[in-house]
Formats: sequence, structure tokens, C-alpha cells
Amino acid sequence: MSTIMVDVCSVTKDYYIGKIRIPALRGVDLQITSGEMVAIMGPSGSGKSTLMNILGCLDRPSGGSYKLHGEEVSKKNDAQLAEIRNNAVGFIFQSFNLLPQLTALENVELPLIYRGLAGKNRRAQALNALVRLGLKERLHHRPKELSGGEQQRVAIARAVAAEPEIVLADEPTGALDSRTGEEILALFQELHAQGNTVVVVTHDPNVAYHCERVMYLEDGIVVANEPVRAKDYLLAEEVLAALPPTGEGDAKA
Amino acid sequence: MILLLSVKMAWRSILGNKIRSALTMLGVIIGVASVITLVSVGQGARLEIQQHLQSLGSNVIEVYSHSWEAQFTPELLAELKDRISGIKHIMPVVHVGGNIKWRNTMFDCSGEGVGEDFLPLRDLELAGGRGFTETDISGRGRVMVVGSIVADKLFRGVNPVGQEVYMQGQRFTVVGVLKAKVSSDQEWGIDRTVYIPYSTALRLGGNSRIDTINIKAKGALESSQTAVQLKRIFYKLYRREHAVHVMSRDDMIQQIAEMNLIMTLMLGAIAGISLVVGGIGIMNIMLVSVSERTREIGIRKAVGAKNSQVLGQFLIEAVILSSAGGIIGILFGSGASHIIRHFGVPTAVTLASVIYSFTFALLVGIISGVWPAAKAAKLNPTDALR
Ligand SMILES: Nc1ncnc2c1ncn2[C@@H]1O[C@H](COP(=O)(O)OP(=O)(O)OP(=O)(O)O)[C@@H](O)[C@H]1O
Ligand SMILES: [Mg+2]
Repeated sequence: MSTIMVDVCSVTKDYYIGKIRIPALRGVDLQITSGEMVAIMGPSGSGKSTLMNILGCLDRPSGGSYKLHGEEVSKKNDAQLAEIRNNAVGFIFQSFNLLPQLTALENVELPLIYRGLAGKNRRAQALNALVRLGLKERLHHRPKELSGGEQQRVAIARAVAAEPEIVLADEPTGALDSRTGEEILALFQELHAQGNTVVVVTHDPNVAYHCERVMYLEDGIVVANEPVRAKDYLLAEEVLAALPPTGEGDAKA
Repeated sequence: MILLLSVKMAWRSILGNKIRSALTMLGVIIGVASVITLVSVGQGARLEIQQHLQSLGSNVIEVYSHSWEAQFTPELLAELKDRISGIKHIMPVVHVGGNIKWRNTMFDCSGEGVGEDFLPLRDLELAGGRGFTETDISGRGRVMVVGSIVADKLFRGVNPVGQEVYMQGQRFTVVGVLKAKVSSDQEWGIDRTVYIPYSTALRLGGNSRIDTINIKAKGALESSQTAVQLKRIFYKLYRREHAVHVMSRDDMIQQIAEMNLIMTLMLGAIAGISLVVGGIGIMNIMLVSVSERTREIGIRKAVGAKNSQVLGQFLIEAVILSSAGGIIGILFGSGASHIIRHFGVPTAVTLASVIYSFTFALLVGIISGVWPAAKAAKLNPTDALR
């Protein structure tokens, strides 16, 4: 069942500031097998977020081809892309992107609403995701009333509640302490174990070691693409067990 | 399903940002309320003039005193009638506060003290009973002739003739009922007037002078001649140009036509300005919140909202806010015009001003709510999120 989930072929992306062209991606080739867990690393400004946006169908490439599940994305119209974002992709933003006027629960419900899920099911599914992320006590808080880590977890809950085929996370652990970060990684590994495809952007090699493969991006080009060596591979459950127990992660209980 | 969803989203969004919602509505409220109030003042003035005009018969000349020295007496009236051949009828008019009471029911109407000839002079006809006799006038009879609306609304089926009513604490006997003169059921006007002898009216309350004379000329030609003669006589009498104002019905119609035009233009301009001001208020709030809303749209699109779903929400939001604001504006405007009427300025809320201002505010609200949203919805989610 090793079908190709993500097939990126010499994708370019140019930004324009006035007339000045800023090439953010300069011919990226990349394939991700269905069910794989991949890390993308690279210095700041190397184009990681740009690539993730394209993978998540939030933006269109300037050139090249991107096939998701064998279907060429650039041939899709806006409504079809919206459907892909809604059904197939769970995107976790570097900056959370929660709606400030909605509560945590309502934020998580949002993609399910657009999917047309009926009230009771929708609520249950959103609730389930929030509980899974240890936010049982924060259901009716607005983003402003939550810490950065809690907001990040709401954002993750929103992405995974919709049970997407592919989870795309842009620096998901950047705002979290090591224990909570590790718990998030455990969740990703669990999703991965269930057969989901997971792509994580990170600066932290330790986060990358939770994945099967690491891709290095530099200046808009993939400069390295190698599997994580078995001796480096980290299982979040084990790391968690080794961590000294603190009061920090108690919300999870 | 999509509609219900959009309504829910819109509702959440309105409640989620109460200040923004309130400010948006405020623009609509101000626009609608000010238009309705202003137009109602103008319309009130216009109606009052119109009714006054209707209450005068044809070939009527009105003379009113503009100063205390110009006092009209019955002797003066008799002298005028002798000297000017074109006069058919002449009578003094005394305005009285018109509230009357019958069997403990108070009724609002206008009241006039008039002479014996008031029926032919004003082109009025009796539906029942009689008019005033010479003895009524000379003997300061406490008799009253009532307009058709008074008869219908106050006496409700009871024949008013012979009934006793109270006016300013004095008891009057109704002796006559008039036929309706205006077909429409106006709140004010000639059909809602009661008449008593002017001599009696002079005894009522503080207004104890005759400040108005009504004259009916024998014909259209005599009417203008009579007006000229009157002016000359009064000038000789008082040695002043403006002690007395003589106005024939033709003068009046012409003046009113001019005034109506000016008033229409002025009100149109004021109403237009206040609508534009309200409209700018609405747009301002809508546009100020664009960057915030652009981000919101980006987020919604990122989690899978289609453009139609986003626009549906914004459209419904704008419709809810603008129409709620519009309704509140109508209430405020009508309330304000009511209050103004209490201060003695006649007002009349017109259906046209309500409809036009509401529609305009709704349109501005919807356009300025949906247009930025439509622009933002066309962006890629990433561009909208930046
Ligand atoms: N909207 C934009 N307009 C112009 N240039 C942009 C825009 N977005 C990104 N860039 C440029 O594209 C390049 C890649 O940006 P990107 O956000 O993908 O980097 P990144 O690898 O995610 O960096 P970081 O690790 O800091 O998040 C950068 O040089 C950035 O300045
Ligand atoms: Mg980035």
C-alpha cells in the first residue's frame, strides 16, 4: 500500500515585491509515500513554509507540478482546492491562526462545519480531539484566554479532528515546553502509526529524529533527503517516560 | 443547509464582535433616523399649509393683523362690506384651542370662532342640524357645529346634534354636523375642526381679539379687485405697510407652490447628506475591519471554506446588521418626529422616506460589507493570512 501521497516535481514559487522577483522555491523535487512521517529542516528563509503552503493547497506553485494522491493540484479550481483543504489536509500553522471570536471548541469545529457535518457528531468529534490534546478544561476559552502552548494545541486539535489523510505541521513544537512538545510528537507518531501521512517542519534535530526521513531545504532547493538512522530514531512515548514528572503536563491527565 | 450554516456563522460573528457590530449598525441608525426625522418635519409643514388652504373656500381673501394696533372690530367689518362692492361674505375668525370633551372622552381637534356666514364663506355644507343664527352670534350662544371626523370619531354613531360637549370648561350644545370635505382620513384638517360663534370664542380663554378676517368675493375677478381695495383701506387706516396682511387665495397658492419647491429641494439635500454621512459611517467601519476580516477569511478558507460559504456568511451578516440598524433607525426617527411634534412643530412621517432611507442603508450596508469580503475571498488563503 505504498502509494505516492505527495509528488512534487521541480516546483518553483516566486514572490514579488513590486517588480522585484523573490524566488522562494527554485525547483523542488520531493516524493512522500502514503503513511510516511517526514521532517523538513533548513535555515530561516529557506522556503519551508512556502513549500508547506503549497503542499497544503493554501497556495499555488509558480511552476512545476504537484500531484496530491495522483491528482494534479494546479488543474483544480478554487472550490475543489477548498474541498481538498477541508477533507484531505490538516494544516498546523506556525502562528496558530485561530479565530479570536470563537472558543476553542468552536475553532476545532470549524472545518467540520464546512464539511457539512451535523451538530451532534461534529461537536463530539471536536470534543474528542480537544480531550486528546489535554484541553478538556479549556473548551470554552477564547484564544486570547489561552497560553501560546494551549493555542498551539487547539490548532493541532483543529487539524486532526477532521481526520485528514495528511497532516502538515509548520513548527508545531516551537511554542511549547519540552514535555508538551514531546506529547505532540507522540500524537503525530500515533497518527503515523494509524497510517496517516505526517510532514513536520522544524529547526530542532531532536524533533526531526521522531520522523522516518529528513529533507533539508536551502535557498529554495532540496539539498539533502535522507532516512533517519535507526540509532537516532526517537519514540516519543519512550522520551516521555524518561522525562522527570512535572506539574506542567498535568492538563493531559 | 448552506443558508442555515451561513446564518449561524454570521450570527456568531456579530455576537463575537459586539463593538464592531454596534458601530456598523450605528451608521445605519443615524442615516435612517435623520432622514425620517427631517423629512417628517418638512412634510408636517407642508401638510399644515395644505390643510389651511383646503379649509378656505374659493375666492377667499384672508386678512390678518400683524400688530396690536391693527384690531378688527365687527364695526370695521361692517364698514368694509359697505365700502367694497366685491365682498359677498365677510366674517371675523378667532382661533381657539380645540380639545373638547363628551361624556368623559377627550378629543383633539382644532377650533375656530366664526361668523354667521361661515358655511357659504368656507364652502361647507351641513349633513345635519343647522348653522349659526344672528342670535347665536349676538347672544354669544354656546352652540357648536362639528366637522365630520369629529362626528364619526367622538360621537361614534350617536347623533351629535343636541349633545352637550365641553370646551375649555364651558358647556356647548352641538347644533350642526358638517359633511366631509376631504376624502382622506387626515389626522388634522378641516374635517377635524369644531366651530363656535366668534363672539363666544372671544369670551373663552385669553385670546380675546379678532386677528383674522375671512372674506369671500363675489367672483374671481372681484377677488383680486377686493384684495387691492383692502390693502389701500388698511394702509390709510394704519399708515403702515405691514400692519395688516392681505392675502388672496391666488397669492396663497402661488406662495405655497414656491415654498413647496424650496422645501422639497432643501429636504432632499438634507436627507441626501445625512444618508451619505450615514453611508460613509457604515463603509468606514466595514473597511476598517477589512484587514481583520481578511485574516478571518484566510483562516476560514484554510480550513476548507468555499468562497460561496465565506461570502454567504458576510452577506447575511451585512443584511442582519443593516436591517436591524434600519429598523432601529425607523423607530428612532419616528420617535424623534413624535417628540418634535410635542414641542409644537408639526411633523408627519412619510412612508416614502421610510422606504427610501431603509433601502439605501440596506444597500450601502450590504455593499460595504460584501465588497471587501468578495475581494478577500478571491485571495489565496496564504495571501489572505499574511
Ligand atoms: N509574501 C511574501 N512576499 C515576499 N517574499 C516572501 C513572502 N513570503 C515569504 N517570502 C520570502 O520567501 C523566502 C522563504 O520564506 P519562508 O517563509 O518559506 O521561509 P521559512 O523557511 O519558512 O523560514 P522560517 O524558518 O523563518 O519560518 C524568504 O526569503 C521570505 O522572505
Ligand atoms: Mg516558516
